[in-house]
Amino acid sequence: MSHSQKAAEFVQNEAKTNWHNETLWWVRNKRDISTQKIPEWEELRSLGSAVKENVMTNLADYLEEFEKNATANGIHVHWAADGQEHNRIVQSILEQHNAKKVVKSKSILTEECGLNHHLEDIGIEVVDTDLGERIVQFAKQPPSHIVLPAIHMKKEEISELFHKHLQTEEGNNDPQYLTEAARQHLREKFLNADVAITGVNFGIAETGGFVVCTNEGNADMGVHLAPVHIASMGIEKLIPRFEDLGIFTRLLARSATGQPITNYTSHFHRPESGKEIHVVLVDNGRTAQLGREKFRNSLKCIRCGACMNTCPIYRRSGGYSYNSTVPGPIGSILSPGFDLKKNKSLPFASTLCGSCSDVCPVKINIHEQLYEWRQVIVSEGLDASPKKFAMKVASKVLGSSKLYFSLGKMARKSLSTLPNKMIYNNLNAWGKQRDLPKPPKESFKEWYKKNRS
Amino acid sequence: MSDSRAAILSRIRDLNLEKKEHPVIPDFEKNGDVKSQFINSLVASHVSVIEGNLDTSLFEQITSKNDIIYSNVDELSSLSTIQKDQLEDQLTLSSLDHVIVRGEIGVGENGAIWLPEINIEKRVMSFITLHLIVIVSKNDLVHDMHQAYSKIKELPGFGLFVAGPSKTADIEQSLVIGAHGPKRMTVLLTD
Ligand code: SF4
Repeated sequence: MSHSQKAAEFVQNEAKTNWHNETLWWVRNKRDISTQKIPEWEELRSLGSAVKENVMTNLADYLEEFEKNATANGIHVHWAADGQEHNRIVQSILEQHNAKKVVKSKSILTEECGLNHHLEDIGIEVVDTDLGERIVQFAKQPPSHIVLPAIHMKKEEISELFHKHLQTEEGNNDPQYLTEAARQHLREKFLNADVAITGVNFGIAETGGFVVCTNEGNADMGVHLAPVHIASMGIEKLIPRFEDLGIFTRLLARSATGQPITNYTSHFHRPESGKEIHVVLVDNGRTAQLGREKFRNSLKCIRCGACMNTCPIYRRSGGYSYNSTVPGPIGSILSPGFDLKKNKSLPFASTLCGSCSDVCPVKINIHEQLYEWRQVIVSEGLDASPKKFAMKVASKVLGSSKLYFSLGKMARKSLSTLPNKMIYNNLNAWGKQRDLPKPPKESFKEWYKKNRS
Repeated sequence: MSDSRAAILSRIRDLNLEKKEHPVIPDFEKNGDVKSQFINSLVASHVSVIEGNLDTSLFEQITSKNDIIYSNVDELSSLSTIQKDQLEDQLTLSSLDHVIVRGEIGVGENGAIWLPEINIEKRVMSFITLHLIVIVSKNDLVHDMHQAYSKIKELPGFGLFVAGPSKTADIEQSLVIGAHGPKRMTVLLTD
């Protein structure tokens, strides 16, 4: 299904669509207030972008440096060419420890690799511990936003889910009460887990360590209680130096939620005595994207979600309309790299207003890349929308002034007399949720001739 | 497994990308009174701030009679109601009411406090307790994260910037304090 078809499903619930739109815009506003408190904000964005530029153009060296230092720190480093290999590596670590119970904290990468399904298929209990992720896991859905996984759900729906899975009171929709129920339920999971899996926000080449940021503290509860910690890390998550964290910790939370920093910024360099840390470095299409000059910049992404919160399309179409792990503007330039055919509608799910590029903390030229993908998709003949036919006709008509004026005259007459069926049909993709304005009696040219000549 | 390592590295090297330099991080101008910035940031993040000295009587006000307390601060060790070796038991850990630790650096712009693992005793302790109490000296305050990172000379096996009690807004963006970890955090700012 294309983006617009899925978006049509989402907007059917008008009240919810409005709520979704307004709530994300409110988060965007919090971001603005928070970033304006830092006089050097723009300079920080440029620095963040330049550091990532340095990473992208020296990636192999930094990966080797990271591996060497991490290994010296007593961290086991693994390499996975794709999602399947990542899952097999995780599975083999679990098997070595005879692990049956896994707690997981937010990791978009494991979502991308389909890790949960893989592990559940071999009989392992995987519990997502971020509250939002636990909610969508109960609902058997993927997250709809990379920072706010359950932003598409209302508290009534969450209450119903919790009533079913956690036996909370029916109809009690109080967020405080529901969060407390999840706390009790997840505390028990933390205490009994064999292995904890987390994502990685930043891997540091110079020191061979990595940083995980959360607000809930769920990543830390998991890894410090379980004997084994597996951290899944996309190879683009590297930063060269420890001091670079100064830049990125300032950029990340302010861009994501408007907080001045995440509650917990945890730095892992060596395992606690008697425990193990494994890092799985994952390619899964990243080196291919690195090779696409026009789209390389997308690898700078630090997954703050700001481009989603600000996007007029995302806010009104919801995360699921993108049908990919990373939705929204950045997802629409990453996903076509994975599978162009499947994701061909995504680069068109944008007004190209550029708001995403304006808020991006690492200055990715998101809207320009969306436009670039459109060129690729059209030149490969993949665009088969009704708009295409209309555009062809339009280019003929607009290319000939004679044709334009005579057809214009006809349209002004016929639009007011034709039955709706003739106007709003499959050939008119623009007429789906919109009404045409009333046609004027005369064209501007005719009016001008009469009045000014 | 090592096959993938070689494949990934050579895929990258074969691209032969023109190398870009790492930028120099400038010394940004720091303005204002760092102590009041630090306190304001903490209060905004739902942290109670007390100014005072390491006096055990201070803690009587913020703890209750039968609470389980573990202090990893030597001067306050008399406040501990459990022994160090009891921390090996996960159920004891999970019943901790108050944990008292010393913070090394406090950051004005966001209220973050650096806790290296040596100050925590067990890594999970500052997450699993109901109430986290952190002692920070006024002399250890810095303005921003750049200064904070440059002050960390020795890298601990684990270290943490903590900036408030555990929180979530995953249900309709309503803020709830105490998602998994502490429901309460107090900072004692000493001279
Ligand atoms: S593209 Fe930029 S704004 Fe969007 S999630 Fe990534 S870092 Fe944030």
